[in-house]
Amino acid sequence: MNRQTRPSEQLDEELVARVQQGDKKAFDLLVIKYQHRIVQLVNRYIKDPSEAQDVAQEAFIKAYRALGNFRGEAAFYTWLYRIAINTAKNYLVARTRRNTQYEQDIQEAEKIENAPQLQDMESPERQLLNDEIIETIKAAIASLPEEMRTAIMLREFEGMSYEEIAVAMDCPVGTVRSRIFRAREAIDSKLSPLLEHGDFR
Amino acid sequence: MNKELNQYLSQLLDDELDHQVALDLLQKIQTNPDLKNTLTRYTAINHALKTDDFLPLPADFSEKIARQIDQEVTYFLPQKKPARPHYKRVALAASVAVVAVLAARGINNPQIFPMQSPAPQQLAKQTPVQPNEQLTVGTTPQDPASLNARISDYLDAHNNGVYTGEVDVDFRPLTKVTSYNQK
Repeated sequence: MNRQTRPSEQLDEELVARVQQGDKKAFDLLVIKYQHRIVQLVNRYIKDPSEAQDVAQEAFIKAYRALGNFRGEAAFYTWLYRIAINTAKNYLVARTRRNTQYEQDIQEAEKIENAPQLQDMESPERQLLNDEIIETIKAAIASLPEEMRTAIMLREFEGMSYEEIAVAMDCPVGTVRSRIFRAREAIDSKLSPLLEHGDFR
Repeated sequence: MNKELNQYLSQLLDDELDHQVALDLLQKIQTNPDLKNTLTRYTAINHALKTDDFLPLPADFSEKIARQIDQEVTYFLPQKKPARPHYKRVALAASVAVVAVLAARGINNPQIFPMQSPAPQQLAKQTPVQPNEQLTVGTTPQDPASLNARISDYLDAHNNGVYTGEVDVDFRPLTKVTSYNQK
């Protein structure tokens, strides 16, 4: 087990134990902690952000219902990850069946155009905005001071821990922590105007 | 204060936050929409860096789940599966117990297993029969008349004289052969 993941797993164990004792708020903390990762994971299968959110929500509800059977043999996230993947796969199977049925009937096919699940599909405008955001993020990283850029890139692209980055950059761990945070803050501040005017929120 | 919390958010994303601090932070996120939005943006930036896809979550994503969970039955400790009666095992155990009891009683009581002979060691330990003691057949005492009648019957039945011609025996056939249309 990676040393750096221990605090996170300990935290999960404690939250899971609380949920199992009837504390529903503790499950909310687990949702907050993992919601982004689960939505991103599901989106890799579903390829539609709006549907991915619905499926991710379903996965969390399933996880809550099944938490009584969770014995802690695997890490909570590993367990949740499996539930999310299964939920996404089941959703895809159901969607394929649904679409096949539609294709069989031309009149039904016309209804597809007005179907809510297609209304949420990524629009060209949204795609344009997405591209603009990605460009902004890249430009923000490029404009970062060298030590901040290196720290965030080692973290995000190499997956290195703070301790490893500290060794690589020959600086204290606290400095790494601060550099990564300031890099994120800088990117976020460049992004905020776009997000306020876009339809992401 | 917010800056410090935002740095904690950054550490939380990287799994670099101590257990207790992370727990406190999550509890703050639960009630602080600004913190929740910041976490959402930081996570979306992380994801965008790796995938070239910006995927933010609506602020009320976790609240929707919380609302649904509130409608669920309150959670309790994992229920143990109800103990299933192991009928086969119980039946087997009962059979073994019955056999054991019968065997134990049979050892102590020859009436149950009359064919069983005592072990040599037991025979050795038995006290010799005194000459003045009355011998009895079996274990139950009988009156002399019935005993004599039984002995007499036994001797009649086992009399070898029937084979040597010493005794007159009426050898009447026990069956009759009959046939139809006998002339």
